[in-house]
Amino acid sequence: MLAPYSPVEIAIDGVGKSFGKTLALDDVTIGVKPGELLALLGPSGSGKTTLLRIIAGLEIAERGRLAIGGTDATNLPPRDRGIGFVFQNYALFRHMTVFENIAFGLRVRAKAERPTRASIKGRVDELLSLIQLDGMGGRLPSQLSGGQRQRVALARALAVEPRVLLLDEPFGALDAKVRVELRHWLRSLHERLGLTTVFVTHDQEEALELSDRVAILNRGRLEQLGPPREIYDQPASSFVIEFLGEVNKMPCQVARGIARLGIEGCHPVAAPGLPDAHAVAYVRPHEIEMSAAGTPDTAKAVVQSLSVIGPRTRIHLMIGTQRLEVDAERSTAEALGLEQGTSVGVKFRNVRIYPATR
Amino acid sequence: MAELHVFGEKRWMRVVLIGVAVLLLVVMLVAPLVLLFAEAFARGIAAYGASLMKSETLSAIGLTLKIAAIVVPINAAFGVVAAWGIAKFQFPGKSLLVSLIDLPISISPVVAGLVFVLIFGARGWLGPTLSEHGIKVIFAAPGMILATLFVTVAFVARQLIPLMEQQGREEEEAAIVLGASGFQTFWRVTLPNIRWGLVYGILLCNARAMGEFGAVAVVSGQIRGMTMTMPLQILALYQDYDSVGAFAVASLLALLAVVTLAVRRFLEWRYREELGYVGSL
Amino acid sequence: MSIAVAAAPRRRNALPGFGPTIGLTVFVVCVLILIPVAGLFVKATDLSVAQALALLSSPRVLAAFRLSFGLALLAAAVDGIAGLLIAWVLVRYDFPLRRYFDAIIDLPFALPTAVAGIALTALYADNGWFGAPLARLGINVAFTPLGIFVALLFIGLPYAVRTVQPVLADLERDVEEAALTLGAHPRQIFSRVIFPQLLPAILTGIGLAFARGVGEYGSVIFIAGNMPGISEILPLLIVIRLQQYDYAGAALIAATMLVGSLVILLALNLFAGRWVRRHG
Repeated sequence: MLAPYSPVEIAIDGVGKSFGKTLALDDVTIGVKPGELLALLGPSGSGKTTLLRIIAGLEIAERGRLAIGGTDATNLPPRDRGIGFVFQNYALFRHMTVFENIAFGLRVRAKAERPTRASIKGRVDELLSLIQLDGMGGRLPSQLSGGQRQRVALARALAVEPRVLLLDEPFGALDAKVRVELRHWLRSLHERLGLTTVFVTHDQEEALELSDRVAILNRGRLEQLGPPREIYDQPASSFVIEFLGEVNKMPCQVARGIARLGIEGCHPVAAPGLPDAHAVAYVRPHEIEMSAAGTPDTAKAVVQSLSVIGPRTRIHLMIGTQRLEVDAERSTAEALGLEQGTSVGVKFRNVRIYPATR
Repeated sequence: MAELHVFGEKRWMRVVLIGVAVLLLVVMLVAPLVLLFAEAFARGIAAYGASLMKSETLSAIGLTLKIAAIVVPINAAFGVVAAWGIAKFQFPGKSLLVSLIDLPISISPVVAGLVFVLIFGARGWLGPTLSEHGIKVIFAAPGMILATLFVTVAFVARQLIPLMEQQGREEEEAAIVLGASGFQTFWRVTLPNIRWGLVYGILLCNARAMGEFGAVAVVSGQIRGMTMTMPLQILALYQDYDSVGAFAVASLLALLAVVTLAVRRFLEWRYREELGYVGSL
Repeated sequence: MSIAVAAAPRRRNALPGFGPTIGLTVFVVCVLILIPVAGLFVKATDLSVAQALALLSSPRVLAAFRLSFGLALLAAAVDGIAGLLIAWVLVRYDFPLRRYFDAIIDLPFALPTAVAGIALTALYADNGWFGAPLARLGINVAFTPLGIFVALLFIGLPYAVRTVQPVLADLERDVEEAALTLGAHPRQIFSRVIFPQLLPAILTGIGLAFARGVGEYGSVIFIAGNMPGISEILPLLIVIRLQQYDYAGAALIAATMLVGSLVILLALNLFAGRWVRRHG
């Protein structure tokens, strides 16, 4: 954990924005640390892209303030913010070659600040080799694959030597295989360049794998901010736990800080601070232990169906009328001799209780 | 790509349908076009040339070119400006503004002329005051330019608005983030993306500006050698029973129409995806 | 420093130019279009209600209304049928010179109306290519209402073809094939599967051709003969009023014409909308 006075590269302070009557962002505060790779994660409509565009200056916050590198940037034009932006669909200039695209940011500078022709060429060639497209400078964007376009868009953003790199759904438009390749490449590039980077994604796996910290947004509000592990292990809300992968939901009743699931053989769970009311218990599919039926301290469940997915097994169980999804090693399922209709003992390794939401 | 969609109709049926359609097109469209050139050259190429060289006709050609040279650039510039504002931004009243720009297209040309006579005519709202100061709008070139501006105002804008809407604003945003100024963004990113749509719109705007009859007829007063454009001159010569003269001028405008159609077809074939909206007015 | 920044109005758009471009557009639209057209309606109110009714119900004006609206509707309807046939043939069949025939459809858009007028007049005059044989049959076209009809037919044809053509080209082929496998006859497939999908486009085309035809002036005055009460169209009546410096009368006729064609277009659109809702 960094000390609270550690420097902040991008300070997002109480930012809010509405489009017409819809509230896109509501009082969001995030401090992005220098050299950090931060993911803005959320479903569509959560406001994550709006927040990224506010950092870039493509949208202006209606409330709150924004500072980049210690200077107020709330109302600064995009060009004066020292940012590089990679658009979701790349927004490459379609009538310009790859070379011209990458050189654009240097060529539009005022005469006094513009690099010489030769140094522009040197810089572009350097970037072309960084993105592994040496010799492709003469191509048009339409002659490139999706992954290549994505890298050109990145090189174009890097050409102006930004202090902050912003990426909007950087892998959204790519097919699965290219997506994973580029993800690793981007991570290693980030480690090499050390640029403060913020990227938007709706893919929790991508966010958890790639970033130093994740900010989870829901309906314009920041739900949780923290390192991937912390977010996964200690979800701050029922939204976060539901958004980060599959989870079983079970109704329960809280009384005096204790939640009871109403399932025979199931221990009560501590639910400190929760009011006495209906609540929801969450258990992830891989946090359910199975044993032979009748094992003490287990609930009795019946296998409804099971399917083998490579080395793992997915099992649909019923405890009374409660449906459960379990993810187990194939060997575990085989050792227990599970098949449709078999009874099995079930124990929850990790139960989280959140207040019931409407 | 023969017989693209055969849905079970008999072969003789197809032949009959094709025959009727072709006959309709020949009678309705091809025949008038052929006749124009036949009549223009009815007394030979020398008579054709001589009739075009008459001073009245030359002055009509000159005025037509002059009006087009003023109107087309203005409406092209207006079209680009309006399309930028309308296509790249969201604001209330947008569709109303677009319909208002389109309004002149659906108004009778005579009414288009009439509205300016009501304002600038001898008994119009501003006419008497202006004529006291020696400014003549109606029965003079300014009125003809105004009427032509009105009639062709939508041509470039309605070509560019859908094109620019379809292209979105991401490329412009990318340019702005990379440090380009507004002018650089327009000049280096937007304009190259819309150039063929712009050419297409200008082509149609020009064809209409040079060929407009009704609106110009109402405001021009049709003073021979002074306020006559080519279309007006056709009527004047025709009423003088100067058939070759009338058809000679008509053939020039017909040639313009054919060239416009050919270039238009070429653009549609070559740059279809860069035109945005390929349609008819 | 930060207080001063906070007090400054915040920019609304990242792209520049919204204010100036929309400002200029609204200005041009107001000065060039909105005010002049509004002036038309203002001018029409110079006349008292009694005067207005007397003018509009005078035999000459009534005859012109009947002629302009009647012929424009009739020509648009005939164009609708011819346009459907031509679009069908162009989309579905291949034949020599097909692309050239397709291209020439746009001729009435590109050809100045005066040029069309003089060509059609010469074609249908008693000594013309088509006029002479027709005259021998006792049919006079030029300088009669029939001539106006021919001119409006010419002017409206591209609207009828070009609205139907793309819809026809985009029709789902498999629906027809399904109907075919269910044993439907070509005539049934056309009337039950294809035509209902085309009708809205046909009506749109007819509407456009009609709107253009009502106001058409250039091509018509050459061929019409312009006999008061017989072959005098509304736009010509407006021109005549203007020449007599009867601005209010001209404005009233023009305004009534605009409103009248608007009402008819609206009715066509309503019908097309209903049709779409009922037939998917």
